[in-house]
Amino acid sequence: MLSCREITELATAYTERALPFTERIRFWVHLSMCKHCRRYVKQLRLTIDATGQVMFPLPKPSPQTQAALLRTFQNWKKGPGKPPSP
Amino acid sequence: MTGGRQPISPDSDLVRRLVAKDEGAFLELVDRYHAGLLRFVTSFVRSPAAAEEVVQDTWKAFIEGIEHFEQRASLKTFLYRIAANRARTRAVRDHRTPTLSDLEHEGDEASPLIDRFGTAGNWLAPPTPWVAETADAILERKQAMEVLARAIEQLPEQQRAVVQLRDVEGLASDEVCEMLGISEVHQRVLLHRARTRLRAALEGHFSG
Repeated sequence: MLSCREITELATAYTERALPFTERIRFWVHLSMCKHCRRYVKQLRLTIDATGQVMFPLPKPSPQTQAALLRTFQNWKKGPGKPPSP
Repeated sequence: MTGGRQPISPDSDLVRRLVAKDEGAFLELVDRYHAGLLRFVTSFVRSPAAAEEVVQDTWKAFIEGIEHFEQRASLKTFLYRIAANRARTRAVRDHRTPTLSDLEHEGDEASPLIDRFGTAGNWLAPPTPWVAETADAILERKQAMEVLARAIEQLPEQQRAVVQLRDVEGLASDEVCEMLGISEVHQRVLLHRARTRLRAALEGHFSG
């Protein structure tokens, strides 16, 4: 029988579907009998879902960066060849 | 298409326009991905100036390689792969560890759950119910999301890199392992530590 502590240690392997079959069964058996661990795993999944929705501040690239990127783009657009005229 | 107005062009449209050398498409991609790439790259190079250079190099390599982009992987994967390569090369140059392969950096960090179990491994202090019981309910709570964002920023850099790629950007684990040059198992350890901390941060918020 897995302990609650072991459940929390294996929880990522479980949600990642990386547990070998028999371990997975043991994990299920524990969950079916332990509401605390069910809650733990549920909260872990909620955390993962919420993490996917976090909005980080999105600073625009600085004007210098923008200018540099535009130059890069325009050089690329011109294509290779034609060395600058003397 | 009958779907009406679509405010955001999908990546595939932007790629098509970019191959045709459309500047607007390029700028739109920069707007969309620059900040995320910058956040990612700082897991490898510490100075903001170096990170900025790496991301600029990434964009240069990206447009130069766009014609070879076959859309088998997503555009995001393609971009992050370039960024990871550049960032690791830069880390070597700056004498930093180029891969995240060194778990010793973080040692046996204390689990946020350390005090929560009895000697038999049973819960002494079980998880408490959260007021927000669905992902949507959490999203509606601005403060909870801020707590989560802050907790992500405060993760050790290796964990932060993995969480950003896996859970924020939604990339697949095999892609992430390849980009970071780490094994499946190592990736899972980092992800596990990170998610355990993030759950604990939300728990602290909801029970505090």
